[in-house]
Amino acid sequence: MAGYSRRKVTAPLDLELEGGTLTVLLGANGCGKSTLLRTLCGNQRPMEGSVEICGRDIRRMSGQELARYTSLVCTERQMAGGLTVAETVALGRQPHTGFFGRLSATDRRVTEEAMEAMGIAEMRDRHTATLSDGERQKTMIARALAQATPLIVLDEPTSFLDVASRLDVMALLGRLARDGKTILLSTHDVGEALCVADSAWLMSDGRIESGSVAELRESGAFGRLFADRGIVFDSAAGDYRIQG
Amino acid sequence: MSRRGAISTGVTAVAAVVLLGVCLWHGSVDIPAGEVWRALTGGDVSREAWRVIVTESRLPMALTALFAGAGLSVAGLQLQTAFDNPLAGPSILGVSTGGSLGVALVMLAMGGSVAGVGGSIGAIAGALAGSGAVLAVLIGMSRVVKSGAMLLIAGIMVGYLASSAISLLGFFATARGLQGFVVWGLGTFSSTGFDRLWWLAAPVGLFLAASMLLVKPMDALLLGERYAASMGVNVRRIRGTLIVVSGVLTASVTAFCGPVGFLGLAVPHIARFVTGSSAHGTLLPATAMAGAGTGLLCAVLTTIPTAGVLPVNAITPMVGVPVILYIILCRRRLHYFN
Repeated sequence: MAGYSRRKVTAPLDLELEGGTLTVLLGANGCGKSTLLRTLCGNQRPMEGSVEICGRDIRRMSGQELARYTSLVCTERQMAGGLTVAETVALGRQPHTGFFGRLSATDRRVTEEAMEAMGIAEMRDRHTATLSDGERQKTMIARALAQATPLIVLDEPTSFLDVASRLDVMALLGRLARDGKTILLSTHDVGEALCVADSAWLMSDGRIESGSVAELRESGAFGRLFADRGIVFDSAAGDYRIQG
Repeated sequence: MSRRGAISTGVTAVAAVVLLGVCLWHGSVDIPAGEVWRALTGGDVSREAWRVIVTESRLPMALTALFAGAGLSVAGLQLQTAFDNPLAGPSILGVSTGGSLGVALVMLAMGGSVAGVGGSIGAIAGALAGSGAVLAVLIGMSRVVKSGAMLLIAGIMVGYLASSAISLLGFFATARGLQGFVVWGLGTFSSTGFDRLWWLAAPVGLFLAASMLLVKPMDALLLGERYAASMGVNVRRIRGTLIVVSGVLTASVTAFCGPVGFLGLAVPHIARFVTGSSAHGTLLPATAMAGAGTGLLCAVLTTIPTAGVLPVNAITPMVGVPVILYIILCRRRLHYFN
């Protein structure tokens, strides 16, 4: 794994994502979550080791090829307020369109389906500048959906959202996983995420513990994640709280 | 392209054509419109002087203004997208001034007179080298400076440095040469005769056409680097290409017209305002049309005094600054249109 200034941020990792599941990546700020996700999306090369998607090594893929396997949703606030919702979602078709980016009938249909799936079809002609944070993030998820990749990586997609939009987005992601997408999601909203997650990667001290949510609950791995900071995992509530 | 985008681009194109007509018709000598038309179409003109004025003075000036306006405006749009900064533009980032410094150096090397230099191959080469040097500095700084505002200030500083170098060079120029250079430095659309117009029209036309090939990755860049990369765009390469294309456009125009300010910064915003879109498939042609129109408008305004022609840079701030202030004062618009 490559970190900032080429520091190794983790010990050797051997992780797998199963198709059609939602995996949540948890860990403290600065532990390397984003670096891991960047590496998985090909934004950054691994210092050593390999990442394979559907049995293919991403280092052997061009950017455009990789973009047909992985799509990304992140916190980065997009500035292009002058694009409509439909135009933004249709940008997700870029890895599939030709040199000029002209949309075929299929591209239009996929774009439309992605907007339907995220419940934003009625706002297709609105400029993204006029959207709320929640609506904007749903637009970006619809864009990732339109990219039609088996894997969708989301880097803290719910950071700017209020509780209602957070739950809304998580529920939508859960539904996408049930429909066959593989979803990897980093977040600090543990409670909301665990409601829909199938498995989890817990990252701390350069190590990652992985397993199904039930297994990790049983083994107490959630509890160990922030134990040194006096934070305990409340198994009944499915969320962290201050020890006391 | 959306319906509104298509209609508004069409209207902008019509406006540019009308302004082209006004530019050919209006001037210090009153020539009836019918005579102007006959002069252009090769018919009989009642006075030979009118024919000469229309075909050898007004037409080259109008075409220069058209290509300069379109070229600078599209260069501005490319810089705004490449640097993800709505206030970027060839003049504010010092690219025009850099080109101008290159021309000044060529002028000195060729004996201190700009008369034979403006629009010559030497001037084009000098402008390309100067603009290229400034852009190289900006690319280097953009790797270190992440804040868009700081990068703009850095660009302004580089521009000042180039200006200062130009002033120092002026010290070594001949008095006549210096006067010529100062006039050129204030911006002019009228120093290009027909014989040299191709040297402006060919590179500007070519690179404007080439710009249309970059529409798809430019749209991806609107979402920011990380998203663009995740959609398969080679961000570094596209950004580099955009900067080179905008540099060539700026340098070509600067070699003929001097460092013309504000058009590149303001016109993309006018185009966004008119089309209501940031999608480059709509915005880029609209910016080219609006740029041609604005260039022609400025050319018309420079011919308002009956004696002589005003410098272009006396006019462009009056057109550009209100647009920029409007964008800054309406923060929401800034967010909306980029």
